[in-house]
Amino acid sequence: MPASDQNRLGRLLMTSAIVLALGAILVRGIAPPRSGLQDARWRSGAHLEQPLQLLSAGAIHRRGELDERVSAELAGAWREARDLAFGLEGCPALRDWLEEQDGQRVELLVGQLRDGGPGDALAALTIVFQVARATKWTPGFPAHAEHAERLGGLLADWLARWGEAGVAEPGLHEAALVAALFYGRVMDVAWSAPAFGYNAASLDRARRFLLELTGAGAGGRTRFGQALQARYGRAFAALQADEEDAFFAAFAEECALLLPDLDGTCDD
Amino acid sequence: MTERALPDGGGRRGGELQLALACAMIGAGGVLLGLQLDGNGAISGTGFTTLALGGLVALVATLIQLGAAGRLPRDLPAAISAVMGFLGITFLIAGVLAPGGSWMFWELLVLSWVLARRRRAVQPGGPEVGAGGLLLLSLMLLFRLWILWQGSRHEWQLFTVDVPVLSSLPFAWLEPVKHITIGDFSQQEMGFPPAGLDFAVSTTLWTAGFTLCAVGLWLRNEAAREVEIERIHALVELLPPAAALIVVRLLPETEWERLGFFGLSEWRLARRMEQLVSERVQNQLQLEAAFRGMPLAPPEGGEGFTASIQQALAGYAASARPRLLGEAGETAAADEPEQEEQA
Repeated sequence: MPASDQNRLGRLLMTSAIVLALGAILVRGIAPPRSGLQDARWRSGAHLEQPLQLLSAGAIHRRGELDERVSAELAGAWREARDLAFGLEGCPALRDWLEEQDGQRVELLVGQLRDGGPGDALAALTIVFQVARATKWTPGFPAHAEHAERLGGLLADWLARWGEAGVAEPGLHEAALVAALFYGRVMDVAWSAPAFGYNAASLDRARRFLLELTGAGAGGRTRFGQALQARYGRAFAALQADEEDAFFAAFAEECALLLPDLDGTCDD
Repeated sequence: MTERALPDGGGRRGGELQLALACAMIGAGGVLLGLQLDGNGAISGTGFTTLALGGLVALVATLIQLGAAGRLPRDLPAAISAVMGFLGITFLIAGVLAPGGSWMFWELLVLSWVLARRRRAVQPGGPEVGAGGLLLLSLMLLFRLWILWQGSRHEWQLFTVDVPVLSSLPFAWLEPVKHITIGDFSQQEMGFPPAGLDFAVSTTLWTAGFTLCAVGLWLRNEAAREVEIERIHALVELLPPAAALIVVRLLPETEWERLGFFGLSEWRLARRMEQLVSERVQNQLQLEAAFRGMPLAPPEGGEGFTASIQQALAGYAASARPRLLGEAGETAAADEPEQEEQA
């Protein structure tokens, strides 16, 4: 290589070295981004204040607010399901009630609402939570895991449709996350239902579903996973733990703190 | 480093090019060591804490090495190279330090001791890291990657030991005493981003950065010596070719570093070479005079070490005497007309 070219290349490399060294110092100051998804909860727009109240025991006082938020074509379905769910008494076993006429009707209506818009989805979730509150889904003796499995199925269907999309909706962001926590708690009941040993199928199903929903396994996190990590980091971390069943305890613990009455016994 | 013919003008810039390449590698390695990827795939910096501590250790090492055997840089490329050497050590240390906790201070202590030890006789290119230092830094990098791996699995300890018998009992209430954890740490202590760390990508970045920095530092050390050798050759080339060859024979390239040539200013280098050439020529003349007066036949009856040495010297004297005497005669004959002219 001619000497002039060598000089030019040497100067270029030395200049690059200086720029890179300065860059190496500056890049260390890049702050980790905060989760922008948290802001979704506070985004301005027509959304319900404190939507979690619709999933709690106090939902009976605010259920009327959903009337104007459910889409017109599903308003009838919402009113019918609302009356059936909030009128449910006697604490029947969940699966047994869903086999009855009213239960079947509610299940169908919940499916219709779930396929609607965000307001309809919140209405559907309100119904599911109310049914869970008014029925018995703990295993009892001999072990009956099917009640919890059925409730888990309702929640999983809703999460599959609205988990990822819901975290971007102001009115559904928190509700979607709580639905996932509740799903973990319910599946924990199904998993630990047997008097001896565990239901491996429940664990496998719940784990696979939550890993896919959050992206906590291989591959990148989903928006739902990012939101869950930002809001309920311990539960998200438990999904990545070595012990496959570790997430059950974390999800159940978080859910018990938020909704202590949702224990499958109808007790207040 | 082997003795070589005097380089031509075109090949003399190789050392500086190598030096610039080494500096660029150090800079690129520093960038990679300063980045990490969080669990959401967002890039963030690794913070200034470890950089500041790394800089402190590098400064101590630089000052001690400079005091022991260092030379100040003479020109801009040498100054940039010295600064890059300092930064390279800083980046390396910052890249391998445990991000927090008491371990970090133990690591700092060990690194200060290892890096501040006396280096080679002269360091023309600023602070250096030897092979032992690089090995230690590599081990610390492994340690850091291990604790980050544990953290990425939400295992907040170095390792766990199962308590025999107890750990096999199926009672949940025994859980707190089933295992003994060694070396607890926390997410905050490790400086993880809020969304956790993407271990695979971050590890790849840091390992690549460490490799670039380490290779860059090694290359820079070698290139700095190469630049000095080229500079000395350039000075020797100012002499007539025959004289230059004799000077290179008298002061072989392999001895230049030991003789303290590296890092000297042009003027001091020239004076030092003049002094050494003069001394060595005098030595050579005294040696030849001693051979001229030596008996040709080795002493008889001797054996072992004495006999072997004397035999070797006598053999050389016998073979070289005619040449030495002839040269002396020619020199004397050649000097005579000059002396007559001077008279």
